[in-house]
Amino acid sequence: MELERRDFMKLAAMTAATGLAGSMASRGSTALASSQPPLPDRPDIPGVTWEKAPCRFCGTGCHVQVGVQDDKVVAIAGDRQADVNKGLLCVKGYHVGMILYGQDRLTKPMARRDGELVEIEWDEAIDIAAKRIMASDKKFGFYISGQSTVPEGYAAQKLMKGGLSNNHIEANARLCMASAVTGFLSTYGVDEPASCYDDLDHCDTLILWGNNPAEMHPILFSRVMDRQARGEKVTVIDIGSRHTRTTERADHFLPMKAHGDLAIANCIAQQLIEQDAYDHDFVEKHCNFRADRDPSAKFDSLIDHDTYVAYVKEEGATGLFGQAISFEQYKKLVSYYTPEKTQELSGVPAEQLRMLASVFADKSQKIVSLWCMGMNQHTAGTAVNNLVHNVHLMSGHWGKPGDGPQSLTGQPAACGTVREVGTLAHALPGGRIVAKEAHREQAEGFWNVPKGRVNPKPGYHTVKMFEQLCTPTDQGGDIDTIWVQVTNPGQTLPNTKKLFKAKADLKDKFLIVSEVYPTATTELADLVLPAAMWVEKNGVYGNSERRTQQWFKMVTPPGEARDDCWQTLAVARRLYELGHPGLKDKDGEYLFSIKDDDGNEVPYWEWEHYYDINVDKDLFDEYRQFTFLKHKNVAPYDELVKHRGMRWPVIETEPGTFKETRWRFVEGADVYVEKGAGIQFYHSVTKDNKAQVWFRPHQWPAEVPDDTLSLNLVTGRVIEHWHSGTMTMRVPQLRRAMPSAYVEMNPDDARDRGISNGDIVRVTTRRGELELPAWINGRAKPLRGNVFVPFFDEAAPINDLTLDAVDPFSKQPDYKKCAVEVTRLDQPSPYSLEDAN
Amino acid sequence: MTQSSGQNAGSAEPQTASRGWVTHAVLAGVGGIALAGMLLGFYDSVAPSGQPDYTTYQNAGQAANQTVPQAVTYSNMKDAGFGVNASWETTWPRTQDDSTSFYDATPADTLSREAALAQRAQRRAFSGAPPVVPHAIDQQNAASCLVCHGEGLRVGQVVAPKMSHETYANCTQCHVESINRALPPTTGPRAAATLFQGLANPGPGERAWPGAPPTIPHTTWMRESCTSCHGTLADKGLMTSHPWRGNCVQCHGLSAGLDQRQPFNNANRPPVMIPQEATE
Repeated sequence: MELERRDFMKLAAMTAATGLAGSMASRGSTALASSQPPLPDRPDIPGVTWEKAPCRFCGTGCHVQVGVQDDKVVAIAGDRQADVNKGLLCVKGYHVGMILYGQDRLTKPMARRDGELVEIEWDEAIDIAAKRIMASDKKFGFYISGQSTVPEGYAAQKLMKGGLSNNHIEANARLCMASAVTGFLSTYGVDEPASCYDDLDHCDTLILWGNNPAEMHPILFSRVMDRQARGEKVTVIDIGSRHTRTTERADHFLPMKAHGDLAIANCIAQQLIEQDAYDHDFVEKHCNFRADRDPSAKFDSLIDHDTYVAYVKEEGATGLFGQAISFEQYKKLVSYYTPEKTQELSGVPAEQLRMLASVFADKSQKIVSLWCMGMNQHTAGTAVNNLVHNVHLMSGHWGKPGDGPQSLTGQPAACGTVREVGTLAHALPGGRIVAKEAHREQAEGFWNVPKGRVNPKPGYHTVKMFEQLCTPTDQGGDIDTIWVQVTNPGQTLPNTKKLFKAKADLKDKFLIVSEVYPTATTELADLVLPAAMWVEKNGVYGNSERRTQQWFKMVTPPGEARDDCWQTLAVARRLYELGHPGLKDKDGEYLFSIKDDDGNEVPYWEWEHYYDINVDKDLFDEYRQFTFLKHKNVAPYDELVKHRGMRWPVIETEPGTFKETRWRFVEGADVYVEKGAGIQFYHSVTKDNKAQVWFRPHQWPAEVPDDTLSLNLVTGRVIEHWHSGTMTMRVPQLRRAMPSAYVEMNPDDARDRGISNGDIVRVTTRRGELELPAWINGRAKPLRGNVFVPFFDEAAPINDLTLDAVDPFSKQPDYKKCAVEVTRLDQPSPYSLEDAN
Repeated sequence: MTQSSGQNAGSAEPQTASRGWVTHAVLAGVGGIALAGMLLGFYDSVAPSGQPDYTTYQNAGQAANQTVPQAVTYSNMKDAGFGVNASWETTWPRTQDDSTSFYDATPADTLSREAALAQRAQRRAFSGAPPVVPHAIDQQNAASCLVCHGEGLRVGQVVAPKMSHETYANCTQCHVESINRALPPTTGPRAAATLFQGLANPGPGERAWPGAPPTIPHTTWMRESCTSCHGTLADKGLMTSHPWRGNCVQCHGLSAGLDQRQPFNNANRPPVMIPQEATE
């Protein structure tokens, strides 16, 4: 009784102080006051209310406390009750509130008229978009993002695949984690990491595969470093091509040539086998062996490495899931990767390779491998993902707290929206694919659309979709309209001149862009839709450790900016009104119909009614049905409201009680593992509860340095900026700390070219040139033969120069390898572009 | 170079007595040259041009054209003005806990407090944001921060405040330079001005009656070390009037709300499946 009274007093006080009643109403009537978590009572700053939200930036998934005063975000604090970050943030997170307040926010829809963007009304804007899609619904591509919220992604997915029977829906996560997906699928039969961040609190050794978490996932890095600072022993092994802030804290640095990772992981397996140090029990119980082709189909006896490579080259691979091979054949193939041979291929000294193998051979050690873009943005990305899973499986360093591989993502909902909702050309929600009839039927069932509505043929992957946009219609460019939401492909696609900027000359092609600020993408947009961002709207994200995180709208978006999800649904409604047959379900009802408690349809497609109900909750709980098939059960929306995220599968142990899962496939942690199984890969490719250990040979990058362009170009991020800098470059503290792009060189490479620190130099690849200041011994130091350029600076669009080669399975481009030369401006250009073309 | 000639000369063993004096003369000559070379080496013939710009220390994060003061050569140190820090030579370096400074503690007046808070606000996006670093940093090695900021230090007028929080391993995770001096300024085509209005500094704490110890008006999460801002190295406007008392929270009340401590009973943590291994 007393408690209740106190709660009531608290609520009354808060309501009076902050006009809470008003803000509650804006969330929609379905979000009841009582379902809000008992947030800390923080009356100490008059007029400031605090609420939880996941950070807007990377895939770590920190929670922040957002301080709101007078309908504006005024302060940010790390959320002490969040398991991910335990109250800490990085410099971007502490300044995340400021991203809403850049002076040039887009606040009014704009259409291009006579080459200029002119302001128009929303109604006209929705009309233009809908009519354009109506006219060419099969040539329309929807390009969304790993920063789209789960409901945004689900709405776009349902509109495209369930409404328009069009599979040309992609997300920018194709550029960041598609190879991790194909890696998980081909190794375990189901996507997403089985482990979680708790492992970082338990591991004895941390192995970083081409990863710089000190800058890119600082909270996770600090989680380990702070253990060291407290006196715990954690050995950090950094395998990379740059001496970074991470390397500075590492115990061992293994200096690697481009694509050396393929050889290194194979070498660990070779050493484990040669020394008979692999985990016999684990391998026997839980592992099968696999390769692109089974040589026993052609050869009578076991074949060696070079014969195998020639064989696969001749016959081609059999697809993502390959063919089974015997352990004996695997042993014979992998025996090629001796430390000496691997030293030759990877540049890492044989002694260090033996040391690395000995770490895996040591059963008493608990080992976590971390990777992100270094392994994913890789033309053999699927292969190297498989290989790192291999070494953990072979050595039995798998499935114990602190012991296992953990793939990181770079965007806050790359997992939640893109991987789980399946906003990719081949996928359907919940781990389904369009190619499977049963999966299509299930989706059609959930959406209540006629059988055959979902198109069985996968659409274009990202690179192909933009290539088709930039190809003239009469030359087969059969994408004529793309709608971009929550991402900036004009700066982040590879080879942007070819894949994006070429659109400028094609007058019949049409680009719709939902954005918050002017970007390289809005430059070429024909229709610009101003968007609400982050806590200006309701949202749900999903981070790298399967954690689904919900937040409420806290402030009003500026001007006429509106939610991306509303934009999608308003266009869908207009298509319905225009008579598109796909916008009706099989009973003739509107596909996105939402009814209130009295059974009346809510006209939420009218902006003034959008927050009459909580559309996010409605979409999320509908999407939730899809998640059980692959045991990716997300929690109900109302349960997520109460927590700082929950890691799926979330199990309803008794009615109303939901428990999250930390380790998948592990008995005791994962309810789907049978009793006594210990570890059970219950979505196994081979249907026998086993994971696949892959043989994947070393291969060279798609473009290697030569006499003309003698260096390798690596692109990436810096701690201050996130992706294309659209948000972080508008935060003065971050922009001043890192104001412009640079080319980072090894001091010896710079000296050979007569380049000093701060010189403006010419950076040349086969695709173009860029002038940049050289920064030597600055933020980091690349190994000889490598240069690094960050991609955040729109004034220095490095992706004009990158290569658009992709991994054969994941279709993810490689932003870390292409031939480049750096020259002083008073020296002739090394490469004449005319000759190249 | 002078070093290696010295070694060569030193290793030349005299073979006969008659050649001894020659060797000594050569040694003396070489030694003399080495000594002169060493002394010359100390002298940098390039004189500093004009008065260094100290705006960095005074208005960190404000001016776009900030520069960091050039290091002064040994030879010119005697004549260098050192601007705000002119008296460094006659001042002992002082640490936070130097008890001799306890005795000149004077209570802050409103003006000095406002000045101190204004100075403080220049380095923060909002009250509670991690401050930016007003000087050049080692881009790769965060550990070097702790040399000065680990315990706090004053040399002359320049203060390196002690960290206000426990030691975290990765300083540059949260603290970035107020201005990057290695790279040219942004040339991007977009406007970059911000309309953000950060949370203002909190007012003074509450006093139950005149003369009662005030409560702490700000969060103490990440600001556990009161002396970092209120200790003897602090700006006068924020300095405590009684630095000799060590246990601040004995008298000054914290706010559980601001510190997100209430409720902190795991009620908001989602329940998990517990694997056998984890419970061992």
